[in-house]
Amino acid sequence: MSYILWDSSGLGKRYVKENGEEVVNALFSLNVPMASILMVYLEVASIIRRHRNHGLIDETQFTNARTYPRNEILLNSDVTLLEMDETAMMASIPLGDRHNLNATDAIILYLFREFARETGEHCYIVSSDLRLLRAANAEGLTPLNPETTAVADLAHYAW
Amino acid sequence: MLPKSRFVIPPEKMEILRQIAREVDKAAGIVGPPTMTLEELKESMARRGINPADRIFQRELMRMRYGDDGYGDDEEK
Repeated sequence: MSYILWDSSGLGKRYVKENGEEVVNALFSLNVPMASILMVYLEVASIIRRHRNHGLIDETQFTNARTYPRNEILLNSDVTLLEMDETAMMASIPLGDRHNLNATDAIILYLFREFARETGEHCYIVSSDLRLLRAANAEGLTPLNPETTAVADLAHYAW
Repeated sequence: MLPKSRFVIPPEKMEILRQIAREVDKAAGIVGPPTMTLEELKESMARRGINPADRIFQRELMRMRYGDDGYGDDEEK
C-alpha cells in the first residue's frame, strides 16, 4: 500500500487556481490513503485568508475555498492527520541543518519521514517546494511535484 | 484502522479539533455546505483574473516559509 502525503504547496492547488491542479485533483480521485499535518491545514487556511484580504478572491470564493479543505481534510476521517509535538520539533533540527530547511519544512519532513518509517508504507510527498522535495527524496520519500508531473504519468506510479 | 505512527492524532483528539474548527468557522461566517463545486470555484477565480501560471498560493507560501529568500526557494537560485 502507498500513502499520499500532502504538503501545503501541493494541497493548496486543490482550492486555489494554480498550475498543477489537474494532477492534484487526479490524486484525490485515486482512492489512495492520504495523510497530512495539522500545520499544513493551518497554512492552507491562512493563505486563503490572505488572498481574500489582498482582494485576490471575493467573500464567496473565500468561504468556499475554506469550506472544502475543512470538509476534505479536517472533517474527513479517511485522512490521517499528524501532529507536531515537542519531541518532533527538537528531532527535526538535524534535518533542517542537513538540508538547509526552515523550521516548518524541517518538521514537515521529519513527521512524514517518521510516518513512512513507522508504517513501513511507500509514501509520496506531494509538494512544489523544490527544496523540500530534494530533502524528502534524500530521506527516502518519493517526491511528486504536481507542476512537473502529467496526469497520465500517475498511472505508472506504484500505488 | 489508524496507521501505526506515534504522530497520528488519536480519534478522540481529532473530535475535539473538529469541534473547534466548526466553532472557528462559524465565528468567521463559514457555515453550511459549499455553494459551488470545486470546478466552479476555480472557474470563478479564473474569471476574477487569477492566472494559474502566477502560482499565487505557491508564492505566498514561499514568502511565509522563506521570507528573506523571497520566493526563491521554489526555484533554483
